[in-house]
Amino acid sequence: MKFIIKIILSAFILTSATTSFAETKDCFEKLNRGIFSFNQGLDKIIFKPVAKGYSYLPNIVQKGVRNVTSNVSHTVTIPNHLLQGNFKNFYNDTGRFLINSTVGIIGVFDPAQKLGFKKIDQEDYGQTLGFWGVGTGCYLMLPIFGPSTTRDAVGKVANSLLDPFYLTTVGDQTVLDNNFGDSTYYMERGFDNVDFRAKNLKSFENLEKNSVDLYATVRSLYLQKRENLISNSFTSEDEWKNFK
Amino acid sequence: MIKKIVLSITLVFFFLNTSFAFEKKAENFILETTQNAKKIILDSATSEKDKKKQLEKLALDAVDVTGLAKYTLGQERKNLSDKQISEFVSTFKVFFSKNLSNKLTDYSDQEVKVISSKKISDSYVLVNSKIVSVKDKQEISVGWRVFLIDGNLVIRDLVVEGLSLARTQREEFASILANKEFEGLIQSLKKYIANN
Repeated sequence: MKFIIKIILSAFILTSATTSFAETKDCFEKLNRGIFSFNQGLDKIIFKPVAKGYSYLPNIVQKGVRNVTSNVSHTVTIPNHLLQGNFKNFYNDTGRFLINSTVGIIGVFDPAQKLGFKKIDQEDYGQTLGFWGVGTGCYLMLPIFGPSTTRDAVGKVANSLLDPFYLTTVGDQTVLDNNFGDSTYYMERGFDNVDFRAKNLKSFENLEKNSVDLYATVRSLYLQKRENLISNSFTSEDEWKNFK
Repeated sequence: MIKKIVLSITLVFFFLNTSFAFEKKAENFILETTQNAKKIILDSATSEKDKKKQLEKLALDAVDVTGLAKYTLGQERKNLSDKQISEFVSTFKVFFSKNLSNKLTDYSDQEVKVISSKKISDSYVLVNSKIVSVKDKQEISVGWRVFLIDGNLVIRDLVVEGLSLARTQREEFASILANKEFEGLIQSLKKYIANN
């Protein structure tokens, strides 16, 4: 454990503060590629078949699941709006969460949208760290969880440990019954991931078929996506303006 | 005095019009190109093999593949000889046309709607569109980087949901160049071409 902490800390120190996404170093590329192959194996035998099965469910069921998991994610998004000083989005998502959790029956339906509370991008602690100017650190491929960076991995831990949903289900066993609390949390997480995988079945297949180095493609897409999320912009820096 | 005002207004309108004309042309170019691609994909009288060939030709006509090839080499381009660059460009052209036609054949029920466009420079317009799936009404935002090169409009990059395909390709190639050098990159592209 100490060894892992040392690696994370050294990766942070080595590539901190000024590192932009385009310059994010793949400090552990060999290890990352190994974990990527392991994840691909897991995906092939578990996640993809489960997601395929899930994709046969009626659209209305899938939409309901997506709405519930999206509603639960507000428990991480809302405090991060505050931490980033984004009061407009804080107000919007608090409204969405309160309306959809009650009138929308634990988020199955999305009446908030009709009342003017728009669905906006999710926020997390990794994004807040980025917003505060913390460098990305090294690129990491986590077992099961997939692509990340040292900063986002720290954010991921905070996403669980500071999440009121986690704290009331897994953390505080007095709120919900011991087993019921755990299973509620892990079922929600499971559904969220299966839904994401099912939504991207075609895109992933396309990537696998058309990449000459799938690992590098996934790394690039992940880093671009995070860059856009942190800057709250839709496109990364336009390098074409100066291209000759 | 009145003459001066009229002349100024005329000039402003003239420049605005020419500016909008470029953006409008770029928008039409995207609509035309995507409609032509859709026609090919949905043509039931054409075999899959011929469809791929037609899409490959369409891609090579509409995209500045030479510019894109050079862009995807990134900083490494400075370290390569003219002969190596020209070898790469010709291999990349085949790779790109096959790669794009492979991706396009998977899409059949989508509608492209141009939302807006923004002139970035005198020769560069970013056209924003939405691709809507007819089946489940899902929308994907796609930005098209359109350039005017030698009097012709060409696409240099697609930005799908904020993710630049050209940048992704460049970073993919950078990884291969770092691990296998230039020869390794050419071999990887040739392997892909042979398998597709």
